[in-house]
Amino acid sequence: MSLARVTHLLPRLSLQVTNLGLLDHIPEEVRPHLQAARVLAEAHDRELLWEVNRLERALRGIETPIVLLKGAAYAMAGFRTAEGRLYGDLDFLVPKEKLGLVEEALKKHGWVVREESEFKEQYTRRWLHELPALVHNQRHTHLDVHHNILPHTDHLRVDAGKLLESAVPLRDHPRFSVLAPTDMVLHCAAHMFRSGDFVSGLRNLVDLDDLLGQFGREGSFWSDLVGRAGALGLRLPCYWGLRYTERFLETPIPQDTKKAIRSWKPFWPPRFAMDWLVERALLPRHIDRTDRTRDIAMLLLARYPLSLFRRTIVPKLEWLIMRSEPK
Amino acid sequence: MNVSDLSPKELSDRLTSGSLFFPTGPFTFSLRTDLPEIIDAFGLLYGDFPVLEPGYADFHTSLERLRGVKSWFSPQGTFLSGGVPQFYPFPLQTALPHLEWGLNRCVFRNAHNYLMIHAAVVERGGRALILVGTSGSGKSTLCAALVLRGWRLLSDEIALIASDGSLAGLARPIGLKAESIRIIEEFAPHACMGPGSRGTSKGLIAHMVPPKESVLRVHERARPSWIFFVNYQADAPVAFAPVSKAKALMRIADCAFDYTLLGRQGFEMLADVVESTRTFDLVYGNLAEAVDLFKGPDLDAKLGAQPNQREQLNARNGTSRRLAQAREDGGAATERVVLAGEPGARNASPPPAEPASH
Repeated sequence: MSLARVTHLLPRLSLQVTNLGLLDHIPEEVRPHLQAARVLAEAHDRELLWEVNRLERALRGIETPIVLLKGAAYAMAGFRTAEGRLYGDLDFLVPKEKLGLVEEALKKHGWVVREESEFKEQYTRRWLHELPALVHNQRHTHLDVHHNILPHTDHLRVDAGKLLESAVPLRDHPRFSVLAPTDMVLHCAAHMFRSGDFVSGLRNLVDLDDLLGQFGREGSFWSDLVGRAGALGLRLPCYWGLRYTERFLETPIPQDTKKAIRSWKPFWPPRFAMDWLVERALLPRHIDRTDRTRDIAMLLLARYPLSLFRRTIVPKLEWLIMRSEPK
Repeated sequence: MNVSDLSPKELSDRLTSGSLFFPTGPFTFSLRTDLPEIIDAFGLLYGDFPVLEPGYADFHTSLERLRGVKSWFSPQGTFLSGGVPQFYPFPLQTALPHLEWGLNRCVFRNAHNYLMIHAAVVERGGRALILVGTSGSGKSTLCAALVLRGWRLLSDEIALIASDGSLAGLARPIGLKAESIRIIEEFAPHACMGPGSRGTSKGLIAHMVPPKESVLRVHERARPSWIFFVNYQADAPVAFAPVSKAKALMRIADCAFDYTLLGRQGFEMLADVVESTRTFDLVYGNLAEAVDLFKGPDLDAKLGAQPNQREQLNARNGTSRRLAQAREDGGAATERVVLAGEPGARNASPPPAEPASH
């Protein structure tokens, strides 16, 4: 239970246990926690719906596609992986040239930029794939406005235009769309293996497993996925995603696909290193003290794709130069 | 077996190896720490708490010294639940208050099978008195004083309202701030206080050991009967005035931890509580006077014996103005109560990585 809690999966566990009718087999001490987790998940669902509703209102009259990402997308599209999922921020993607308009509209409707320092704000704007987090001044909810799915500091470049082009409008909320199935899977994998967020690593892996399970049944999904990963330049994260969902969650992956991605396999040293890191970062090994190995593994996973130089030194130098220039 | 039955060596061994399991009300905690001053303080503050055999715990907690460059200059500590830090690193000298805040935090961030209100609760004759107030309102001071005068302590921070409307207790140590520590020591020189910790975001903090009886009877539920919105004002005479049910509901909702999370159920539970209690504003400037109000068997008669409180208040010079002022202050300070009493608390996720996340 403690493990489920720290990996943000307790509400999901709770729903699954209930749906399978296993609640009676759960020890008496644990049951209240499952109940509490359900309360939390329901509240998150409610909050998310309301936030999406507010977002729709704030962006009314602005001509731009809005592509919901991650949790919000799963929930609004009614995917299985949204059941009992907890949400942090509400993430969505808009074309880069509309960012200004969108930001302005959101600010008019009560969202404000809250970053610790001016440097951090400028860093986010210049180097990342999103605006600085916008926090609502009353509800304290976070919006992440993306214009791409990978940060600018990453050497992999994704053409956001392609993502926007093939996005699928939501039937019940025509104002919003979600990424096409292949893109959604790729984003999930890219997010997990390239943006350094491994705190909810296991949760992301479960998301990925659910998505693959759901889309995998549709005719040409697997071959599309392979093609799309190539087209978007996301072969490596795609490879890691499939490798680890299969290894840890026994996701069924067709033989053809496995054969197709075999050539993407990195040379053995980085591969072994990755295996070691992922295994340690997914789950803490102690629940009543710091798991230092996990902390280090998560840190390395967060840093590995972005060389130290690109990530920190270049932005900092640029910032210093910019500041010293007379205005 | 109680914590006080363990020899210092046994206690230290258990805490160091993480095999100290103890219940506080409905929750079982395990605690691991190797900080000597925490081990001593724990033995004092939790002396009357039972020691359980290692096994199941609702929350696995630990208090650790942080390693790292910063620690060479000023030692830093961290409090973990489930192996995950619950606060930003804090100066090691404030470890004890952070332990208390941390244990509270485990409860109010997770136990959503209860409706939880940021309030102190004491009980007499099966009936509970709920003291609501923001930081600095004198709620904990009054709670400590009542507990020293025979009321049973349920909790000084979290009112746990179960789905049947009864109040569950925690009976953990009562946190007191600098001024309150002096007042309580004057009020009851025999009160047993734990070591003080300087340098917290709230200044000096010490904890009062909960009375043995409260700890033993922690599983006895209580029926909510009175709610007081407490406000300490220096030199003010004790004054109380009824608060309308609707207003009381809104004000309590403001300082509930999970009222919004519980949605409709939360509203209904809170409405039931307010419906079944008598709700008052209370201003006091002198602790002994305030405690006198709650002395004697029949509090209801006292509260009811003064039929039109409002007029009386108006008659008393300026009291109602103070009440109004107090109410405003209270309202402004409540804000997001989720983190009240919790400096440096952070949301569910551990320290934000560098800017590159998401």
